[in-house]
This record gives sequence, structure tokens and C-alpha cells, in this order.
Amino acid sequence: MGLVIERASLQNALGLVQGIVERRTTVPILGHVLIEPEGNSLKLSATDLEVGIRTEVPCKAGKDKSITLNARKLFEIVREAAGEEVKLDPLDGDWVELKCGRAKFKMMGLDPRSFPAMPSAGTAEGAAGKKQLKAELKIPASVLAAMIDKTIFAVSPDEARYNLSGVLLESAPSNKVRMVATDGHRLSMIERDAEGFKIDAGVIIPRKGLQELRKLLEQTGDEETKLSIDGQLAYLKRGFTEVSMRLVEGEFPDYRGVLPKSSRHQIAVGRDDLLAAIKRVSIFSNERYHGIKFSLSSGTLTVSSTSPEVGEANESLDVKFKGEDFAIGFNGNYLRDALGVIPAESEVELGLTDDASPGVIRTPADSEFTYVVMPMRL
Amino acid sequence: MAAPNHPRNPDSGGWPRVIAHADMDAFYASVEQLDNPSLRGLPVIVGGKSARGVVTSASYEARKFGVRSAMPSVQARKLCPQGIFVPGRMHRYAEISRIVRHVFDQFSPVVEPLSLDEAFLDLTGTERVHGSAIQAARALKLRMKQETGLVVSVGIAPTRMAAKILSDMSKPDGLLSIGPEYLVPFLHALPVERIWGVGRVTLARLNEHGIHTVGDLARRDIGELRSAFGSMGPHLHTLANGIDERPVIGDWQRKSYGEENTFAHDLELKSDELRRVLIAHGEAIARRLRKDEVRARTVSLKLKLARPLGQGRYPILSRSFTLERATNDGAEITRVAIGLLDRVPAGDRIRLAGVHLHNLERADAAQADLFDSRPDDQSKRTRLNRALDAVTSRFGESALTRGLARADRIAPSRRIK
Repeated sequence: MGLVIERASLQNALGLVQGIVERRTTVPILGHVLIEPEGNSLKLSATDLEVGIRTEVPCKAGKDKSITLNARKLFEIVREAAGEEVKLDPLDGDWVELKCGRAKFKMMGLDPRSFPAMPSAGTAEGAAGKKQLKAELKIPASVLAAMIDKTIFAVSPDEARYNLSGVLLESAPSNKVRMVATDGHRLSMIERDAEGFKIDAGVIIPRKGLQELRKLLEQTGDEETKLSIDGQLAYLKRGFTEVSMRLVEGEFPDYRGVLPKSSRHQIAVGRDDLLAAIKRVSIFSNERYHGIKFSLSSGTLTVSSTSPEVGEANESLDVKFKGEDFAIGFNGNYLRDALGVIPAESEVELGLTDDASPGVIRTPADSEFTYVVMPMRL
Repeated sequence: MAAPNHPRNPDSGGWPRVIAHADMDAFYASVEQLDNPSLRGLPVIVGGKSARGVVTSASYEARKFGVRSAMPSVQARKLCPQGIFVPGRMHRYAEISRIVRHVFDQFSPVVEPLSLDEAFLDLTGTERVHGSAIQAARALKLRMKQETGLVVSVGIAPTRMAAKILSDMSKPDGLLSIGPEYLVPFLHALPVERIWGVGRVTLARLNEHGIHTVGDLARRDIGELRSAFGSMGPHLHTLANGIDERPVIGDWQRKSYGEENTFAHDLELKSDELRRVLIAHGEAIARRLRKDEVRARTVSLKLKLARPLGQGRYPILSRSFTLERATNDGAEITRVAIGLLDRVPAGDRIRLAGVHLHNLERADAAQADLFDSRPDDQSKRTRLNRALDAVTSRFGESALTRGLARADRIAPSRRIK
């Protein structure tokens, strides 16, 4: 007798693991999901060795035999399946028969004993002599989700820059938690209240793990969640699902040294107007460098771009600016990223000093958000 | 036949593009005559005198006897027994070449050098500065004479191929120009071997098909050409019809920089000699990158193994590595290139080694870095490189080399675009 599972809950569970299974893996088992029946539930696990996810779906009891199946194919089958239930029948060898409605699939699995262990406290041996950090961050799901959203975009896409491939998490004064991400050109930093959170040193949470965490936080409900840091691991459990990941080893750069203490000019401007102007003017900016220019003169901020192939664009915004005229270049995408995570209809404060010093973006709508962006010589 | 369908440039007299090909007349031989007045007016032949030597350049006095470059020296001597053979002095030609390039640069912001002595110049839109293309070319010829004492011939046309054909036809001391309206009739009257890509073998096959002039080629059906010549057929047909969209590519727009050389004797993979070669290549490329104000992210190592495949062919290996950040630092390029040697299977001796850099970025468009110091007082390396460049620009490329590189041990390398 096979396992009978409700199609919708299986689809949801498989949807959660899709982000983790490797698309183009040279190790076939990493493209599989491990399915282990346990009483009246099925445990599903997937891992890419750095990030792991485990979840459970209820099922009607069947044979107590673990199987593995190609996660992507299984997800597609379940998504397209007719009927309310899916029936899984382990056959001899590692073959599995799958029935839904009147459709029948026979799939080749792999030996479940070859399925790799999840990143878990037992498997992650910390570097010898390195301090084993332990901490628990208790924070509402929506707050953690917002912190991820406000930082993850600034993580370096360059995998060679290992220490920038994740978001720094550390405790900050007055019972706060701080997250910082940078790709070396810009930096995004956010703090939130986190009563009782204390960690001796910052840890770097990998981008992919955060993405999976973010998906899990998206599921309904906004209860308090608990993100645990344990040695070289971070994990978070929500409902029946747990995401675990290995922390990025490496030293996060000394970001405090690059946060400008003050800027010569503080320019207040509406977030929506500025974002719209940048989007329009960027149409003519270079497709590789996305350079746009901010020119400041008395009472006016002009956003402009020029392209030798296409032409010129500029748009002026009224601002309170006094002082000597100056201009500064930026990668327009870096500004759009930051404005994109600032609430609509709010005001932003641009802190600028000169054409070679970093620009700072803050907003009264979220005083705990700071964004620093290096200029671009145009 | 209509001219190729380009947007007209209103400043360029209705020309879609104005391309000049400037080519120094008998460059090496002329430099020899320049440096040694006793050679002036005499048939000078630059090249090896040995049995296997080849003529690299011949003065116009020698050309009267039928001596041509790339001709075996033995044959040249037969044609012109009174010819004065001189060995080449590449460093001197390279030195003069820098002045030549400097003159080209004064006439266009987009100069694509093809070798030490010739370049394409995009003159489109330079009318307000230099007048018409013909006026610009006259001024260029005059400036060249003043600054180098040498003669340059110039061809001007709406396409690269036609410009090069014209500069060649105009020699010596020539200047020819053709407008878009005459381009196609002009090309059609030429023998078909004038088309780029038509070498000896292709020419013979074209002739077999009754194609002798560019016009013959242009009038053939594309399908017929495709079945007879494969994908080259339609390509030749396009060129024959005066369509040659390739723009002049300025230095910073080019795709890669490279240096390679074939060794006098094959080298071991793990030898110091091979490492020295890579160091010399790395430094030379870095210097060129800095001069052109570009950086590159990808370093590739090219090796030709000394294991003949027959017909003069050898296996070629290449290994690449992409850096986190673009560089124009010789030490970094060299470090990567030498590191790539570890990814080459041991066993074969090496016949040729080259280093190439791709993924170019304009150094001056660089996005400033958060964790660097201020751009204007950058790292020690930048200052060191600046000093190196200052020395080499004054005293030549052999004035300063890395300790291990010992320039005397390395054959002159070939610059690869």
C-alpha cells in the first residue's frame, strides 16, 4: 500500500524546496528531495550542502520506506496533477510509482542512504580555535523579512568576493539587531529592536540561505520567529519547516570605517519624485555602468545622463540647496535599489559632500536605515 | 546598385561614415634610410640574408626591381643584386611607431592600429575640426613628414576595405578618396583577389567558377555562392557589393589585448624560462592597458604544445581565469598567468606561449570603491606602475624589466589585437 498525500500541501512543500535543489548539479542526488515517511507525516528534505530545508506534510500511512525523487520533476507533476490526492508507491530498487487522477508516472529514485546530511549542528565542524558563537534572535516574521529585503540587494553577486556574499548580522547597542550588506560599491544597513539579542561577533549569513528564509517568512502569519546562530550554522523553524545554513566564513570588511560621519550638504527630496526622475533619465545611461549625474545649484537638483550613441536626458527637482554648485556621478541602479526599499510617499535625505566622497541616503520614514553609495567618475 | 543603407551623417558630406586607412610607405626600409643618410636613394632591403631569410620591407628603389615584402631573401638578391640588405631593428621601428600613432591620434579620436605602421582612422564628424576628409588627410601627410620625416599614404572611403585598397593603390606618397556614390562601380572593376578574405586558394576556386572581378562576384546569386563556398560565399558577396559595416574600433573598445611568441627552442612547462616569458608578456600587456586607460578582468594563458599534429599544426591549449576586479597591473596579470600553468597537464614541451586579456573596462569610468582609499592617492602599486610607465616611455621598453624576466632572453613578441 502506498502513501496518500493531499496534493495542495505536497505542492506547497515541494515549492519551498525548489529554491534549494541545484538546477545544474553534477551530483545528481543534490537535485533530489528526500522523502521519509514517519507515522502520519512525510518528511521532505533538500540541500545543496550549504543550505538545507526540511518540512513535513501529513499523509495517510503507507510503507515505512524512504525514497528520493528528482525535486523539480516531482514538483512539476504535482503542480499539473488532477485530483485532490497524490499516491506514492515505492517499488523495488529505487523506483517509485506516482499516481494522481488517472495519470501514472514511474520515476527512478536514488538510494536514500546516499542523501547528504543537512547542515546541522552535528555536521558543521567549526574551524578549530574559532569561537563557537551561540545566539538567538527572537523577532516578528515580518520584521525579519523587511530587514532581509532592505539589505539582500546589496550583497555582491561576485562569488569570488566570498566575504561579501552574504549579509552581516550582529547585535547593536540598545538591544538592537543590525544587518549590513555591501558589494564594495554601496552598502545597505538596517537596525531593528531585538530585546535580549546578544552575539559576541558578527556572522555572515549566505545570500541563498536568506532567500530561502525570506520565502519561509512569507508564509501566512506574523508570529515571533526565532533565528538561531549555533557555531557555523544558522537556522530558523516556522511551523513544520526548518531552514538551516552554513554561515559564510571570512571577515566582513570594516564597514564602520566607510560610514560618513557627516556630509557637507543635506538635500531633502521626495522619494517618489527622485525615483521616477532617475528611472526616466536612466533610459539614456550607459547599459554597463548605468552612470547618471546629479548637478546641484541653488534650489535645484538636476538628474542627467548622456550617451554618445543615443543622446542626452535631464530632469530637475526643486530642493533646498545652498552653496557652491557641484556635480556628482552615480550608478543609477544603485540609487534605484535603495529608493526601492524606502516606503513610497516618504521623504529622503541625500547626504553629499563632493564628487569623490560617498553619498548617503536616509529617510525620516525609517530612521534605522542607512545606505552609502560610492560615486562614479563620469 | 545602391550604396549601402546607412544613416547619412549631415556633417560628413552625405557619407555614412568616413574611414581613412593610413599606411606608412616602406616603413622599415624608410626608417633605415632616415637613420642612415648614406642609404637614401639606394635599394634598401630589410630582412635576413640567410638562406631562409625573408624580406620584411623594401625601399621603393628596391621595389623597382620587383622586390616585395614576404619574398625570400634569396629571390630578392637575384632580382636586385645591388640591393643593400640590413637586419631589422624592431625596437627602433616600435619607437618611431609611437610617434606615428601620436600623429594619427591628432586627427581622430577613434584610431585602430593594425600594425606598427598602419591604422584605420574614423574621420566621421571631424569636419568642423579638420575640414573635409581630403583636407584632413593632406594635413596628416604633412604632419607625418614634419614629425617623423617619413611618408604616409592615405585612402579614404565609406568602408574599411575600400579605404585600405585605396591607400595601397595610391602608393607611394599617395592620397585617394572615393565617395559613396562611386564605391560600388569602383569595387566592381577590381580583380576579385582585392576582396578581404580571398587568398590564393579561394581565388583559384573563384576563377574556376568564372569569377575574376569583384563585379563578377557581386552579380552572382547568393544561394549559388553559398553552395559553392559555404558561409564564406554570402560574406564575400556582401563585401563585393560595398557593404562592410565593421566600424573602426578604437583601442578602448577592442575586445582583448595579448602578447605571444614562439620560442627558438621548446621549453619545459615548469621551467623558469617559460615563467620569464609570461612575466615579460604580463608586464607588456599591463603597460599597454595603462597607456590606453583600460583594465581587464579575464586573463588567459595560451600554449602551443611541441607535439606536431602534422601539416605544421600543433595542439593549442588555453586556460582562463576571471579576476574579481579588473586590473592593469603587470604583477597581478603575471601571477594569474603563471598560476594557470598548474591547470595544464604535464608532459608536453611548449612551443609557443601567449597571454591574453579580455573583459575590458574603461579604467576612467570606474565606479569608486567603498573599501579603497581615495582614488587619487591609490595604492603603492598604482604609483609604482606610474613610475614604470614614465621610465619606459622615456627610455624604451627594454629599460626596465622584472628581475626574472631578463628581456635579452626573450624573442620579440608579437602583439595580438
